[in-house]
Amino acid sequence: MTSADRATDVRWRRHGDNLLRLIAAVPGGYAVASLWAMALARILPGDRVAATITATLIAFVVCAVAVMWAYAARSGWRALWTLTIAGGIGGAIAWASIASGGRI
Amino acid sequence: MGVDRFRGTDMKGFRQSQSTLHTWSGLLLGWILFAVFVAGTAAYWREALNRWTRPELAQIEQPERVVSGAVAYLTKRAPDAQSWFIPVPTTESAGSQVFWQPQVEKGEERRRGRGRRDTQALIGADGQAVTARETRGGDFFYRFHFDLHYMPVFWARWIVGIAAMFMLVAILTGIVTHKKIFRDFFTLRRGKGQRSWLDGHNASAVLALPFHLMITYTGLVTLMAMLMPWAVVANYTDETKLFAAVFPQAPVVERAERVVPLTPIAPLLRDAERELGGPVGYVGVTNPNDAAARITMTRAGTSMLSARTPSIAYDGVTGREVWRAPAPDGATVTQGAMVGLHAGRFGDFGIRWLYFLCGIAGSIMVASGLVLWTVKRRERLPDPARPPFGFRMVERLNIGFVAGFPIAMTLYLWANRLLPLGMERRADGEINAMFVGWGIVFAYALVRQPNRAWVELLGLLAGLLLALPLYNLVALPTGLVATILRGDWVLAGADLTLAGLGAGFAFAAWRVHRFRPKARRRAVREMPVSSNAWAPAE
Repeated sequence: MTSADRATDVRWRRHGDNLLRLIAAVPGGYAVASLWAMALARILPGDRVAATITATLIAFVVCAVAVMWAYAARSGWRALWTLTIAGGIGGAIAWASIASGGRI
Repeated sequence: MGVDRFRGTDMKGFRQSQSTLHTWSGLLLGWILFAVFVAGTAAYWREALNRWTRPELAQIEQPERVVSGAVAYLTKRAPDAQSWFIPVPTTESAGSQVFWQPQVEKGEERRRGRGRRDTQALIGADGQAVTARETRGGDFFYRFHFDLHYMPVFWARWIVGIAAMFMLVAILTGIVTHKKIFRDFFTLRRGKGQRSWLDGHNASAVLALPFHLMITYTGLVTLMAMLMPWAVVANYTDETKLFAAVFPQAPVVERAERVVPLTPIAPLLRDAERELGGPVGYVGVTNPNDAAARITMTRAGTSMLSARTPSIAYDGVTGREVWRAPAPDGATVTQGAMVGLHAGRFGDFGIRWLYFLCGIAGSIMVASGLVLWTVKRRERLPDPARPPFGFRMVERLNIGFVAGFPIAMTLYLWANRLLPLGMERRADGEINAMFVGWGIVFAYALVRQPNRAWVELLGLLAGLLLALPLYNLVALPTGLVATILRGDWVLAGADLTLAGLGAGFAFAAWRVHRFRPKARRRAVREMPVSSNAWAPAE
């Protein structure tokens, strides 16, 4: 490998890494926030109106933190799979709760 | 290796990653954010601008008289309407913009009441319908702030919402990027090129940091039903059930088809003020002049923090209370308070000024951040005479927005003064003048040498702003001298503020004109030729 090849290789790996972070941040961050909004709306105490509003208010903070994590994580892949798991947990809680309790 | 930069979870690596995110999230939507921030800042003077743009109207002294006049007008103009809607003016308002919903004829589709010219009227200080120049006044800046223009409201609100989310990320990453955030705030190195821009960016950001955080987050909250509907989806099969709980409405009554005159409105206004604990902001009348008439009074948003203002409904014939909104739960009050904090309607003049100044600080924060992006990179350009295409585009977009959008807003005010009063669709004409003017400025910014364009356009903006109060003084009975002598501080304040902004932009134009970048040549020599001007800053 010449040094020019190596430089090109490095550049493409960085582009790939940035792309993964972007996917983790923009659709990923919103997805994690949405799934946790659903989960929190189901599990927060209080009546349904209060829980729904509170969950939505918290979701924006979740979204911002998820975006920051997408860039703070050690690599793009790591950002992607950690956020996938985080969103998956929220989704699972929401799904289990809706499947067992139903909606109004 | 390329990913080495991101390896290591120590604070330095974390800050660097967040700095990258700050730079790019800020740049990508910075231009839209700037326009939204500036229009929103102007919208804090929405009522004042509503008056300023209708100089032929007399100042309101008795709001109750306007409401009684509105009822008298509607009784004559639309006696058998489905409903009337009467905003209760304050002494700062231009008047009461009433509208009504006509009966649906058989076979006709339901018509929209709001925004139609033939179903609305402006009631002035003496309680009569007035014919002021046709304009959207300060309301236009308010709507533009989240609805933009020339595009469906749905898309506009998503664009503004996404921009707000980027802003929240940019603010949070901005905070963690600055390890010496408070020391930085007290540092203002003047005349030092990049350092000065950075200090200016930091100062405008940190100075009003609680405001920036609050306004961005609460801005998202105002659009949350659209941006983040998933919590609602998780709990409700039909979202109208939630809205019925959050926005309680008096039960609908069928028309009795028996003509009975409406009870006098003034005693009900006073009763509602007592019962609701504050002045009334809106009066709604359904089935007017019918045995089944209902009058709903809603407390004014100017009298309380929460935007979820309570209502009370009366029988429109007997004047007896028939319904009262249930007390909202804690979460609804919290959300309503956030919306209220965003709009700042609750505030008196002092608070409104604080909001306005913080809004200006926010606009400067966004603008200086955008300019900083080019300043940082210019010093590292391999060949400053031939910057890459992306760099030149950012540089010119900055001029087109940062100088161009305030020019466009000022042109809107000029169009309000200069378009013929009898012009067809005059209100649209004012708005079109604003955007056509902006287009011309943008084209100019694209072709003119950037440093010259900055000076010339900032100078033009200063001239346009300073000339407005002068024009009022010469051509209108609402000139500065007359308004000060009358003690009309809303109009006088508007003129003085325009002049003050003009002086500020004149100073900025002068500073840019005098500015000679000294550090550039030395910086270029110090940098290796291969340095990548496109690498993330720092």
